[in-house]
Amino acid sequence: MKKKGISKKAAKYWAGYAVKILIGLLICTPLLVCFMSAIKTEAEVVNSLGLQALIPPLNPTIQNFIDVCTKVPMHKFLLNTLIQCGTVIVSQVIFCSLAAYALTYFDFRGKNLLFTFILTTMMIPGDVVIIANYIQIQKWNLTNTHLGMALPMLIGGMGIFLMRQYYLTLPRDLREAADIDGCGDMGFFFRIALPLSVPSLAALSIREFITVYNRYFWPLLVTNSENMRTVQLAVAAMKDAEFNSTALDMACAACCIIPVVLVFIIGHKYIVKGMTAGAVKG
Amino acid sequence: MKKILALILALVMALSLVACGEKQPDEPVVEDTSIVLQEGNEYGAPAGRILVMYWSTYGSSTAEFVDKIIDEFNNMQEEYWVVREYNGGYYDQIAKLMATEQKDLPALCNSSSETVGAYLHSGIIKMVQDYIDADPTYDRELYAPLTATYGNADGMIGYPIGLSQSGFFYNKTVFEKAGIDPTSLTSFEKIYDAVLKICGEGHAKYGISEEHSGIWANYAFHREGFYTVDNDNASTGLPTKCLYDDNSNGFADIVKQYYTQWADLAAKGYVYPVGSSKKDELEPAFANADLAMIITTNSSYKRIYDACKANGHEIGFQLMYTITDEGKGTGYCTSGNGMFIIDNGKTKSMQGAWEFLKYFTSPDVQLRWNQMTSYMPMYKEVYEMPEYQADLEWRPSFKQNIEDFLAGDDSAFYAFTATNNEYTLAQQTCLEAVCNGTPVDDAIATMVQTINDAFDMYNLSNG
Repeated sequence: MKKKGISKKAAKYWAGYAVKILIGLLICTPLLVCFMSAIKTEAEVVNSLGLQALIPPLNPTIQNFIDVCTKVPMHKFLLNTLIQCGTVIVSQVIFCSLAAYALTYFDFRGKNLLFTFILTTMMIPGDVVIIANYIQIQKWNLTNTHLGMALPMLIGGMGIFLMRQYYLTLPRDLREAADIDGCGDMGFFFRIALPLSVPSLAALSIREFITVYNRYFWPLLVTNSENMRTVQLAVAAMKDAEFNSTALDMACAACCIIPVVLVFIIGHKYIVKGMTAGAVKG
Repeated sequence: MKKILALILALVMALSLVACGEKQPDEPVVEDTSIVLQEGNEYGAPAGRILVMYWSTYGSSTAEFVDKIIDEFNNMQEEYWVVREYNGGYYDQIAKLMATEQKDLPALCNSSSETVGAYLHSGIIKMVQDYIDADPTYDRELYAPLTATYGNADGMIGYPIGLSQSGFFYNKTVFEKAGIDPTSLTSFEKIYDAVLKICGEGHAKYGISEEHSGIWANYAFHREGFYTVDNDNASTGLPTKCLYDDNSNGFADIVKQYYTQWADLAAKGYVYPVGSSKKDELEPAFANADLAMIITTNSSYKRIYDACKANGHEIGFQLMYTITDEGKGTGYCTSGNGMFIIDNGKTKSMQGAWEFLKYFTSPDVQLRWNQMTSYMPMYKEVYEMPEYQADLEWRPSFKQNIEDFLAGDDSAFYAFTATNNEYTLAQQTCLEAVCNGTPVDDAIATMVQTINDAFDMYNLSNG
């Protein structure tokens, strides 16, 4: 006889979902607070205590967004950020994939030492070298330029490592078959390895996009004029030393969050794929 | 492979240490390199003006006001052209200034009163006193606590541009119900008793809290009559140790009493959780009369006044207290903002910075600045202006605050530490710890250790 009510399996299934939904809600809460506060008046924000911050406003307003755009040239800041992201992504994709290809398929003296050296660069926190990089950029007269802002990020150990791990998963037979068919090193790279590594390249691109987009201190150091500033500096510039408005801050943060959330939503599957590529050797 | 990796890492570490330990001296600048702006320059300035670069921490509405004053200055004379560039928070800006080559430095910057020490010990500023001495037109008399906060034995290090006073807001309704005269709370001992009465008799759920910062404790210690770090409160050299555990003059006992009283109030549930956001948590609770006092500066007077008025409550502000009833209590550490002239080797540009600073602190500009920000006047001329007096009518306690402040001497000043971000954070953490049950002695010992470690690290690379 069949038992009445929910089976143990179904209960587990739904409990699992409930936990996932709860975690999802927890993760989304700060974003929700941000967007809700952005469309409230300052008085309403100040009076929204605790969970009230999640409640939609009685009279939604876009005035905060208008004020943000009046106080800070958001379009200019966003454009600069996108130029930075584009420059870094293109450069990283080119250099990291080529370097990783060489480290995977070529045998040369000191290969392992070189790879170890590349790995060590990943172990040095960015904050440790930021002032040294700034001093160097000043010496090259590159402050307040896009090149100066992007230079330290044009190639990175993480990108090389990520791409190398992916190339290691490609079957050796592919390379041998290509050799037999007369396909040279660069031919194999451009016609076979590169097209196959799109998920890893996408993961690398998204990762770099998020990293560059969220940079605060580096752009602050190397730029001076408003014409060169990036979005994270807009958020900081909205903050007043002593007389700040939470509603305005949230509107500015909302403007900055939207692009990066969109990129993550579109590309999150590539991030997972790219990061796990090479985790299990085939 | 592991050995090679370890070797490489050791090499990188050694090279980093060498790089950190030796600071390349900047090339001495022998001639004035002030930038004279040409026709069609990027700042839209008329040709022939000397560029005065000003790095600022101001954003939003305050920045708009400052820009307006800059426009006025640029248009009222024909020699200089001030350009403001935003450079992050106080500590971002200091880090950038310290790492920037002399030729690329601005001529002027602003920062908070607690960072005067960082500028004093930075080696990149020109003493404002030099400009005061060379300027026969300068005849201003700043209030004594301001000269103590921004100056040392050699004169003015920087120059205040906005004065806010520390102390506490009180909800008048709550105090009236409890039958306590808030102006009588001149020591933390009295505040402690008042909180016990207010909360014990149920006039408010919470008696006290603070805008979370370590500076209030120091302000009170200084007003009590003590230095908090060695080298004469770091006015004669970089600090090498803090004095919170030094009982040679009884200071350690004062420190312990202060934190013990906080711990006791917190244990009774009378302290609104320390660490709460002032604007988003403390102020609404205060406006609802759930909280009787907030320790902070009076710079947010207008906002708090409006929020309380909407709920039918009146407020007042009382200046910073001593710790004990026997405390010296003659000086006040000041909060607010000041400007610093940076030695960028550009003599004329630095002179322009001084001229702009003078304009910014002139009575007319100060009046507008004070009305916009709730800053207090820095000298009598502004205070006595009829427009300012009229503006005091809606905030009567402000008038008393200014009178009290006027009577203050130059005996109290915030320690000139170059590492205020770590210094004040350690104190913040100490208060959090004692309010959450950590034994007071342990919390103070940790605070002392953290601060002294920060001093050691700084002095190793900069001393």
